Amino acid sequence: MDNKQLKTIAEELFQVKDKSWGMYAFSRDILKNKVADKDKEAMIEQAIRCGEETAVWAMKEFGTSNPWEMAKKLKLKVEFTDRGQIADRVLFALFTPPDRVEIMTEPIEHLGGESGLDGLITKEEIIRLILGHEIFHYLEDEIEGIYTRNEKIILWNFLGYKNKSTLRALSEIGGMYFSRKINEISYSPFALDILLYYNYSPDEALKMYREVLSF
Amino acid sequence: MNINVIIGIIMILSFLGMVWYCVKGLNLMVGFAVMATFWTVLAMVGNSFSPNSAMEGKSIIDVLTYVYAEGPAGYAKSILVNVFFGAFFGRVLVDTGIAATIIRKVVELGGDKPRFTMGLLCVATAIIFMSMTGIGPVISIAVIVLPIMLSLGIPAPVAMFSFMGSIMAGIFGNIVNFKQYQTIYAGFNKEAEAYTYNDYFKIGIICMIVALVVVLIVANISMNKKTSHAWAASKSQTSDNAPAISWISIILPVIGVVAFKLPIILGFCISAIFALVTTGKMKGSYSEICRLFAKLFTDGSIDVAPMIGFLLSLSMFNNAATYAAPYFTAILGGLVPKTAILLAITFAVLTPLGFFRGPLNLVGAGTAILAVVISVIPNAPVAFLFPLFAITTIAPQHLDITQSWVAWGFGYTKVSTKDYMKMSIPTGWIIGAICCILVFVLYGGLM
Repeated sequence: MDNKQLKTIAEELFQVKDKSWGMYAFSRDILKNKVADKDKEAMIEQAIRCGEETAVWAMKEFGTSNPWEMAKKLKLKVEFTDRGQIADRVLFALFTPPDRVEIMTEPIEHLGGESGLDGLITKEEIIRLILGHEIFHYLEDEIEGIYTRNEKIILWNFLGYKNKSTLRALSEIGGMYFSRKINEISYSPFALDILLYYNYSPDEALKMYREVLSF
Repeated sequence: MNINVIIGIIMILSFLGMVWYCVKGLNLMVGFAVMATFWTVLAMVGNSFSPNSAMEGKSIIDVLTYVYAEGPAGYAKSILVNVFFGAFFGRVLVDTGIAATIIRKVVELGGDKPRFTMGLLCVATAIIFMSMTGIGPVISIAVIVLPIMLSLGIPAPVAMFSFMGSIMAGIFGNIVNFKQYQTIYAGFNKEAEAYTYNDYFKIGIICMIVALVVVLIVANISMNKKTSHAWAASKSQTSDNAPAISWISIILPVIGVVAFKLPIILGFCISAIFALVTTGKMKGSYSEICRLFAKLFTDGSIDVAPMIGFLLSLSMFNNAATYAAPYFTAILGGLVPKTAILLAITFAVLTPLGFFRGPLNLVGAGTAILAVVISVIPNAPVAFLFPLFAITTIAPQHLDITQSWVAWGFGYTKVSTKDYMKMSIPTGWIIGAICCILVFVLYGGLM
């Protein structure tokens, strides 16, 4: 797979439906087997709506749609860290409460100057998308009753005690659509998962690409 | 100055050099072979000036045979066979999907609660490593457990530490490791041959629980109060789904040995067959089943291959330590405590000397100290002294950066040794101290 093919893949990924990206997010969730597909679809819709509505509220509240200005107004500590791959995961960013956002430069730098994505997306846009996503995680901690932190499933029930759990996938979906809204882009930022992974393992990225198209 | 004292000082200095060597991450197999040679030559030089009691009546060839032939041969006979069958069983648990299924079920039990799920994962890991052994199975489990912990927002240093710590806890109850340390001990005190896993089981399980609790407390203290969120891309994972009846396989070898007094190798074989039958993997013609067993044994052997060379050179070092003991006795003999309470306190305080294959680590320089201690207090009961040495070997060693799978973990998780050691060294020490005191409470009266 060369850069030309990567560009073709990117163009196809930019057309993938939101529901498919939602199912992709669920496929990475540790509790993916505990939720029925029908319920997943309803949850995906609500998480997307939650992300977009939070974005509308945030843009109005902070008077800007620029993620850098928004981060400044929220007094977030945004740092760039020169690392990326941990275990089999390529890490793009990390939000550590209460206010620390780390953006990993390695996967972005790996994209290189001749990545095949020229004309489609720039490094600056990628950073803005990532920052927007992390701002949503900050807001999740701040906004009481937010859907992505309040939708719970029952894992087990013992003598009347119910062990309930939130779903990380919903937080990630919310973050993606929050970021998409404030950055005013047409595609899902989930596409970055595959495009940035490509430079670490083209074969695995290709598998992920096929997997997303299968949802 | 007495020649024995001079040689003893040179040996101690060479050991400090070995610590530096370990910290540098250089090859341990070669390092221990060089140390075995150096100590043997030093002991022969010393013997030419002043007779070495351990070499009495032995020719130079006898001494060399003892170090370079009898050492590895003894290890192969009593330890390596267990390691090979343990590795075979570990491969069965991995290939049948039993280990992965148990981990997935545990995660589904805990859910998106990092501390709770991490605790459950650590308990499951510890139980799994009561039977499994070798770097291969560790990696097979690590590539399942560590990404889960990371996806839960657990920081990489804490994830790696808690995983390695829970393996260490499981090793306290591991039969193969018990046999390894028992064989080393019996090399200096024949009475230890009668000391069985069943005799050790009670203190082993107590230490395992103590170790798990301490590891989890340290891991929880090291974690952020609120959950962090990572945006990360990961490849898809296949979902193994081994039937519930097969899950018992992970502790079957221990049950076989403890409840039915089965020989451990038979225990591993029966448990492996049970695992294969209950997961439906043992099917096809006789030839196909034979091929399956051959493949599992081959893969298991490959898993432990890097460890075998190291263990064989370590066995040379262990036997060389027998000849080094008189020189250590000349320096340290007067310092060895002779009462149970003082021994327990000394081991508790000096537990960190088990790190870096140090002088309280039986899988390191500890064999020389074992020889000194046994020569000074020959009547020390095995049931008391063996657990002390086992504790100062297991707790530091399996958290140590010289442990093969810990070294692998640094590359996999990109955790710095500094971040890891800030948690591992205090933890090893605390566990060692608590367990040594418990050994005194339980077995101090025997002395």
